[in-house]
Amino acid sequence: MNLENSTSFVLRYGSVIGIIIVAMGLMAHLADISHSDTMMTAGILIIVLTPFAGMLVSFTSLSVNRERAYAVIALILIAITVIGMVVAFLLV
Amino acid sequence: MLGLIVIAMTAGLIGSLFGLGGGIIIVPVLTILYGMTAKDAAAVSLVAIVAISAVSASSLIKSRTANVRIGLKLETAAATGAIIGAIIALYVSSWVIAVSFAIVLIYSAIYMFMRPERVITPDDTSDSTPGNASDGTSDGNGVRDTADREERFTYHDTKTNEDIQYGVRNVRTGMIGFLAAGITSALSGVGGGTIKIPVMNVHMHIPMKAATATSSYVIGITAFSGAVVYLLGGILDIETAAVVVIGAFIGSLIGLRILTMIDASSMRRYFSILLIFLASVMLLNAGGFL
Repeated sequence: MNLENSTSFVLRYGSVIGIIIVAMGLMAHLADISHSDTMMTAGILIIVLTPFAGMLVSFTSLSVNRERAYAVIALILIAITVIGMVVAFLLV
Repeated sequence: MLGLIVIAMTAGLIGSLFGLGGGIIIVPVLTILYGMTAKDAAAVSLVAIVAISAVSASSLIKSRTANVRIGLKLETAAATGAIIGAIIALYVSSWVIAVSFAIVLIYSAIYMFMRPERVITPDDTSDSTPGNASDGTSDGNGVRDTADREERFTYHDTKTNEDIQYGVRNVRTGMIGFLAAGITSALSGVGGGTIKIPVMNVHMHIPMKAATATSSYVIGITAFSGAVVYLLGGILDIETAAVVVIGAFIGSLIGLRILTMIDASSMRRYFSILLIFLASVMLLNAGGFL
């Protein structure tokens, strides 16, 4: 499990799938079809969560390849990001 | 709607070319031309930044131009800085931050424009900061701390079609720079790429293309948590976000195409000019002219 290939794979397919759903939702919205907003929200949620999924895959890849130091760094980053989200949620 | 797509495409193009988020374009356009509040515009901008980052980084990581390991390491500092900045923002006036941020940008721009890039090659054993032992990486005999200097990487330059080897130095002090970038971006609302790239390129000697590509990767991580909060908090204008994201996606793909045709030295020059422009926009904004 190569770090670069696996991270790149998640970022590519996460963003492309999200964009396709957003585009379909937008077209449905323009055509005044119901549930278009749900579709756009779902697509945007997929796009927004893609970097997080990328971090999880990077951590897994580094762990599998026994790059312990970088795996720990990835884990710390995931933890800080989650804390950051909680802080931001409280401040918004 | 077409106008918004074109603006978002421009943001995506510049974002993927220079490793910036594109928020500096999207936020003023949405607030000034579309009458959105700063918070609503920031929410849309964050989603666009994540999209630009994911599209650009997927390609740049695959070609090894973006450095995932260094990116993860530096981003721990930036993400921490963003949390500190979010808390400080409650107490500090935003124009003070904007002006100091602009000054840093102008300094970086002049430095990058005037000085040639220095890349650490495998046989380069010199100290990157002669006479400066204050960053704790020198033992006083000219031999640097091995833990802080043995990071060597390679990327393939598609323009020159050659493998570029480079060493990364001053990681610890670079992390302080990223911490500052995280704090200032959280305070000013502008993506940290404008500070992160000069820190990586000038201070850590990461080649310009690798620095901008790595920035492209990490800005998505910085932006995603904010974007999730806005989305789940119901603050995001879904329709505007959908239009902007589609435009940003197309712009990013165009930017990536241009990136394969541009050489590193002109890229550094264009980036410094862009920094001056962004600093001017920030100063005008801080002065209430925008």
